[in-house]
Amino acid sequence: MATPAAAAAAPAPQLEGDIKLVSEDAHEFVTPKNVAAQCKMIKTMLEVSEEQEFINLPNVKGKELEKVIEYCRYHVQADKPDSGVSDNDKKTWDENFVKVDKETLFNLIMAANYLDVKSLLDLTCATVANMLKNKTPEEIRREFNIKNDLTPEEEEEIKRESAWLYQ
Amino acid sequence: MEQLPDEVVQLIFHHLHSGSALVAGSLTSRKFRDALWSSDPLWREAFDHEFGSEARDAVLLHGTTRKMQTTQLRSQAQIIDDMVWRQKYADHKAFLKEVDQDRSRRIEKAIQQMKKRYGPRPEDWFNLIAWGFLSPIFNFVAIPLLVVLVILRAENIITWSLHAVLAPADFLFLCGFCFFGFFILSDRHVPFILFCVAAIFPVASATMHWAAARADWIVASSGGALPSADTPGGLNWFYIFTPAMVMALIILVASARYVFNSRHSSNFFLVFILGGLAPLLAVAFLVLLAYKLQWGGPGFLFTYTFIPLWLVPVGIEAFFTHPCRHPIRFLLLNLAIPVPIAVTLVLVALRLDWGLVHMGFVAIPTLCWPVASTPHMPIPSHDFVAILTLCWPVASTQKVPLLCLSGWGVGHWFGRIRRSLAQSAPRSLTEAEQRRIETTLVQTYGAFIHPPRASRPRSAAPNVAQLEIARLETTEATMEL
Repeated sequence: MATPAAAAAAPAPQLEGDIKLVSEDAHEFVTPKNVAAQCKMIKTMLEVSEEQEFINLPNVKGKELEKVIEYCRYHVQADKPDSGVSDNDKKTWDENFVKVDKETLFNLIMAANYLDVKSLLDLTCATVANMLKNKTPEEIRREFNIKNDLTPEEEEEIKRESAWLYQ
Repeated sequence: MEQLPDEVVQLIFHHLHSGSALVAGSLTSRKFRDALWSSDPLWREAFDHEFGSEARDAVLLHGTTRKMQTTQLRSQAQIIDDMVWRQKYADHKAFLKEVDQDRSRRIEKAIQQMKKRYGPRPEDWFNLIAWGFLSPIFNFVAIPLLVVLVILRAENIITWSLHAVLAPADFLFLCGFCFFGFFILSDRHVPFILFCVAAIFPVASATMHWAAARADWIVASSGGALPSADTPGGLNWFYIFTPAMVMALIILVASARYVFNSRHSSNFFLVFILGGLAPLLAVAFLVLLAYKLQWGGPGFLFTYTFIPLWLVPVGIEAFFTHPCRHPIRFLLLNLAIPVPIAVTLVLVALRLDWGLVHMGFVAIPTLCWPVASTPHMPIPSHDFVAILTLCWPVASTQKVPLLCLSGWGVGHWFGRIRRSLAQSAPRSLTEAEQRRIETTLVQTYGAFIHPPRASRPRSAAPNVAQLEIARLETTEATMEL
């Protein structure tokens, strides 16, 4: 599992005050700017115009936005030097955080990708990767409800191209 | 999941660090395939995961950096894979070489132990005695004694019982035949057929003399006084062709022996041309020349022209088959003794005013004989030719000095002694013995001597790397050849 170390290593934005984040489905979340700035996209927008009072996030639904804000808030608090939160604690919290249904997980991935929260994106992708581990193509399709649109020739080509992995 | 952008898909698989997962993902759907195939770092990491970063370092050392930068990683992975296998193959070859060296040491040790245990074979003792002791005595004492007897016109005493049937020349032919038979029987490599063919000579000689007597013409040639068309009986094709054809037959058989004898068949064309074709062409040329110049008498044709011409190519062949093929060493080894002897004989011949023909007769066999008697060139037919070389002029002229024979005898003796010394040296194992030892060793140390091919980390399946290994093996085999 990825830890938010990367986020912790990043210099904390010197932002004060709150900002309102509006999701695709019109949910509003008021959050401190330094928490919102964990999302690179929001941080960039705040840097351009610090006077903004709200930011519309048309690609993120309220449910996922709430989770993202929760993630960011925790890590802002936990990454403070005097927080007393160990890496193991953070890891445990992360593991619990991604214990969600697949749909939410993929929405979280999409949200983290859109908002550019690298540590969250790593965490969610690693979670999906764990779900893919040691699975055959057919099992992956079944697990994630993927339709196989490859022709037999294309499959053969992939196998041929990847022969070096199966010596 | 299908809605995930490509970079996210790549990121997911990035966390897997697994080539097989990459392939599984690529096989899931077209979108996944496209997403994964477009990520070089992903495959690079998969490569590191599969082979380790050391392998990639090794590849970089092998100079494929440029390729790594300019080609797709999937192709790079294939190249890297090849290089890794090449490295593994090189390690494997080094291992095998080490094993081979150890195997050679063990075999050599076993050979030495066998030699100590068994000592020389009976044939070796026979060869040592026959070639090294009896043969020189026979050549140096018996033959000259025989010739002296002939020269002293004692042939009537010796051949009293045969005189009514055979001419003195026939008697000497018979002696030569017996002498030849002795050599044949003492050489285990000579096919029996050669011995049978050799029997043609006295028969041919007797036939020739019988026919000559019928024609009221006796073979008569003397030193310098060559028979001509004016000789009673005139130039007769029968006299020219009979010995020539018989000799051609002998040469053919002898050449066939060279060709089919494994020891001389390493260079078929060399053996064929020098051992067979050249002498035959020489015979044909001489026959035509004799006809054109109206030479007469088989004695001249046979003795003074054919023999040297035959011995010269034999000497050339000996050079190519001699174990020491360095020209200078070859000459020093083979001509150090015969050359002074030949020069001395030529000087003596000049002093005694023998004439060029006899000088050539003295010098050329003396020079060629030791060469032709190398351990790698046991040619009993040479002995036969030598006997004929001696007997015919002696029988026909009865004026050839004993010194002539002595010169030949010394040269011959030199060759025989050297040959016997070589044969008495520690013998090499026969092929069967060698094979038996190897089999024993393989059975004893089989697992060690013949380890399985380099154990591969994964199950083997034909791929480019294996093809490359096969190509390398083929190249190496070609280079060894």
